[in-house]
Amino acid sequence: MILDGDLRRGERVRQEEIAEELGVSRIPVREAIIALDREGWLTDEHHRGAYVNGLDQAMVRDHYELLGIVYGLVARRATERADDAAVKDLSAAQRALSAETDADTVLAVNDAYLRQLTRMADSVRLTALLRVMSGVIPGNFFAVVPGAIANQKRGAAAITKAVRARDGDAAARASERMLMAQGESVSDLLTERDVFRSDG
Amino acid sequence: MIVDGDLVPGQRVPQDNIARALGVSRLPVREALISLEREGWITTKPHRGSFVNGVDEKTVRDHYALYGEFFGFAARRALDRMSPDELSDLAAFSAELSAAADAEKVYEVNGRYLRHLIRAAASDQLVMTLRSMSELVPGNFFAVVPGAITTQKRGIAALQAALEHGDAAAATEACGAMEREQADNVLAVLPQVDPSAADATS
Repeated sequence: MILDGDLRRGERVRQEEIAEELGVSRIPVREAIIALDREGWLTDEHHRGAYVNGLDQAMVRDHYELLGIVYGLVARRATERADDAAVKDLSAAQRALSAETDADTVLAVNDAYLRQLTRMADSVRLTALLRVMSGVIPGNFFAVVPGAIANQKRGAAAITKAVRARDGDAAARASERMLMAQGESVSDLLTERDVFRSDG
Repeated sequence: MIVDGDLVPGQRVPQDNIARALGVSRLPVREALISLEREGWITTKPHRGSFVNGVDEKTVRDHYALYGEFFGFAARRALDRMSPDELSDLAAFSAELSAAADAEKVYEVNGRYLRHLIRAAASDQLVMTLRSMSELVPGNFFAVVPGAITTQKRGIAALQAALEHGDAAAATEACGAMEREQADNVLAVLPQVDPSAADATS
């Protein structure tokens, strides 16, 4: 019900209604709420009731790990499919990225780097999938998230090194690591801003 | 239709024929074509119609590699998040799959196993990502692709063993290996495609 939007963030979980709808007593519903609270989908406030959580750390971690998986495959394919000229262009794009400090410029130069990497993967499937994968942070990621610029520069350097070495495994790992680091930075920011509901 | 050679690369998609065959109006067919274009299967030329892109080896390999990765992710999350009951449900489905004798049964039980795995992963993000993936081989994959049943049985058994040992790395590898093998199986049966024909849309 949470996953398909029937219960929204902040909404109270009405145990009586759920029990009735499922044709069970309140006891299994209560047990389910305890389990869901433990898993982070709800916050059980005992006498006040149970409330649906909004964004939590697990969701952020999942999102960035999945994105890392897709970019990991992109980097792996780039290693397998791109020619030496394209690898040189990627290196140049990575050098350009490493020279920038301003968030707006980093955004643009990073886009150019990732476009080059994606082009090198030569994959209709992956290009299409990346287009529909959304972001968690609105606006300029590099302006909003502390540590994001450093994470990206470090990651791009590692990815490029692996691509130059034609090491698909290393390229995939470097991509996954970069996105995981970004996920951690986002998580830290959201924790600091008290966006995540705290436990009990 | 693309995969079994009814529609070949470069061919125009016969929207009216499809609509008639499915018993629907052209509108849902057009909507489906928009999705297919977004995913890279076809290219729409204004006023001229939609044309089939080539289904080449790269596309097949990338498609199954993605599934391998996503199921691996599901397995890792399931190991973190699932209850003992969920694990024993998966064990039961795995056993049922091993015993399944025909393509229909394999399709049904395999679907059940994977849906349970995804549910056990308890990841909204995974569900959303999988929703944006479409099938490459239409109809019953296990009836259409020789070798697919053996590959899937072996792969799911290996995955289940890894889950029962709590071995995330082995679970990830089992999913990757299974999907790589399925890509090989599909490539063996796909009609030979001339990649340059995809550009010949006159």
